[in-house]
Amino acid sequence: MSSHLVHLDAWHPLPVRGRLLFRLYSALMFGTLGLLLGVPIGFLLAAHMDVLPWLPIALCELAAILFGLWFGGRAHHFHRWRLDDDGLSLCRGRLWQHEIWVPASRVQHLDIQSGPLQRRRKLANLIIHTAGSHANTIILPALDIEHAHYLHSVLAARIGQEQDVD
Amino acid sequence: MTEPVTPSLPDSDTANPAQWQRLYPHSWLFMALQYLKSVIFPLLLLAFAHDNDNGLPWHFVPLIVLLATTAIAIGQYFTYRYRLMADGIEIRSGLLQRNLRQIPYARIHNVTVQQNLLHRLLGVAEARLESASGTEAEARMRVLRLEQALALEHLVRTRHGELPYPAASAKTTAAHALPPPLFAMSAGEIIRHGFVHHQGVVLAAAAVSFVLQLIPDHWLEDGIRSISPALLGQLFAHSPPTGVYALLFVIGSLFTIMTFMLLSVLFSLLRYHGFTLREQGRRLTLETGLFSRMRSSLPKRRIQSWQLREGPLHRLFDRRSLSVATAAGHTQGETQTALMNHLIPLAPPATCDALLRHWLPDCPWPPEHWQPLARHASWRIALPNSLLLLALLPLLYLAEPLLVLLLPAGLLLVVWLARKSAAASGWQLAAGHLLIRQGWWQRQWTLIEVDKLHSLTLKTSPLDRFFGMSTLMLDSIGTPPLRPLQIRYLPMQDARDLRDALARSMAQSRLTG
Repeated sequence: MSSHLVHLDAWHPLPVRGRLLFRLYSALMFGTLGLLLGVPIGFLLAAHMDVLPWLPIALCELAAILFGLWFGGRAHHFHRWRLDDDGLSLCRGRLWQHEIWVPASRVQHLDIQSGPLQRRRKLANLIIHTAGSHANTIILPALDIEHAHYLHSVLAARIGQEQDVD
Repeated sequence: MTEPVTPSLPDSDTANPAQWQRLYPHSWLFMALQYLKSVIFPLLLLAFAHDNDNGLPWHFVPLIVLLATTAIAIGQYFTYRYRLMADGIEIRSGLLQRNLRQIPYARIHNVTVQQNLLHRLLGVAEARLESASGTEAEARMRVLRLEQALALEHLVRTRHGELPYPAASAKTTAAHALPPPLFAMSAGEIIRHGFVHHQGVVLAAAAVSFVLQLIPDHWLEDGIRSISPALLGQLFAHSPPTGVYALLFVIGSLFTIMTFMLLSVLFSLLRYHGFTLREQGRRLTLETGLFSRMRSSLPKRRIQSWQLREGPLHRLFDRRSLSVATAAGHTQGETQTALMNHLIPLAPPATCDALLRHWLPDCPWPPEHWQPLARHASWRIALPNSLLLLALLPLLYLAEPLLVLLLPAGLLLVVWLARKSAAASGWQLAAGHLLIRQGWWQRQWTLIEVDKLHSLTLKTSPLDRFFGMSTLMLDSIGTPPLRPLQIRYLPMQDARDLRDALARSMAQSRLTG
């Protein structure tokens, strides 16, 4: 039903309702990193200066979480995907830009994955497996669930056409 | 390895499935040895353990382990059976947890026949059946009589339609099985390989660590304690002129280097004695090893990419090495696969080029002209190394203030190397093949069929963007994790154009291997 929403050869952004999930996930990641960095810094400062260790830790953690929230939003904003006759493209990142292209003929199999938070927002990840080595799993995160199913069916149909003659 | 004997093929015309067969009667010995091999270090440590304060009889543990593994191995021997059906192999194993595995011949990419010294004394061999699924062999038959193993290898190939079926007589089989070698390594070449690849260092390190594990700790401590004050004191008491120290140092280093070189040559000799590469129909068959013989083969179409390598030591002898990445199992620890991937361990550049042209007849190799990297690629390459050098500056200053004067020379060296490297790198897209060359000190040429690429990634970092460059990453099967297939420092527009050209070509093609 949503096939008319997927335009061939056009770049599609991720649905805005997934941004919060990106922010939360990123905040969790950076929060962990902040804790790993903050604890040693806090105790070092406490040993040399007249401060309690929890103060620098809390500041470090707060900064990391705020940065994570901001960063997750940016990362979400810079995700784009595109379906064309030959395959699927994914563009991500702003500073470190990645533009990945997989031809439909090289897709091995596809997964659709969605966690409870994603399901409540009608979102899903599409995971594309190829037989390659480094980039053998390509994840399109937090797609509209109908887009994900549509892409899944289109790509799966193209796998069927081209059998590996072995 | 001896020549294949007439294989006893099961008659496919009869409807009766072949008989269940057992492995070689003393197979349990090899199974037990295999298990013991993995626990040998802890066992030896236990056996030689000196301080057992808690009074537990640790010395008996190895004996118990020995008995247990033997019992398990004997049990496995009696439960492991296989039979050769018309379209595949069936293997039954397990006592409590019974397992029946069916492997169609069409799925077996490679049959490896391997013999170590003990195998050769008993006239047996280990056969491994490998499929595309990669990480582990579908079946390891440990061990078969050599004739049985070779017959199995032959059987799989006849079912692939690579050899005439059925073999009429022993003579025709032998003639089909052994065409003249495409490439063989002479003794001189193997010695050169030892010098160039200096794997003796690895061997020496392993030997030292093994010895250190075996001798009790306090010996080492006592030894050092007894040496250090007495000997050093004496040395410094007489204080001979510094020239003597320098001489001793030079002699010592030369001696060490000589030892490493000898070890390396020995290592190469063990691995590559009697190295022959043959082409049998659509397969390449490789046989090698001094004591432990290995024979493995792989279909040519399973080869994903080809890589020529040349380091400074290679250049000293005017040689190159050719290796391939394959679709069949790229396990890291398996020596067989690693060996198979080094198709030509060492050969003159002309031989490598001729063989590449033979295997890739469509590919114009070597290309007349290489597409260059971006104009300022050398600065982009030099920048991170220069920054690293500058970061090391305070340390150098702390060690010896005068060393800082070397900085301009160091920076010049970095820039010069970067310029050389940028000039010696490039790419070419010709006749469905992507050719990449990289590096100047360590040179590397990669050839890959565009059809065998799986995805393309265009990557641009902030630094790249500043210089107007992009990296094109190419993904194919079996690329080693530490050496991804990529072209760095391309002009942004070139990278995009190349990506589009590759994409068009990939979209039109189907997977070929």
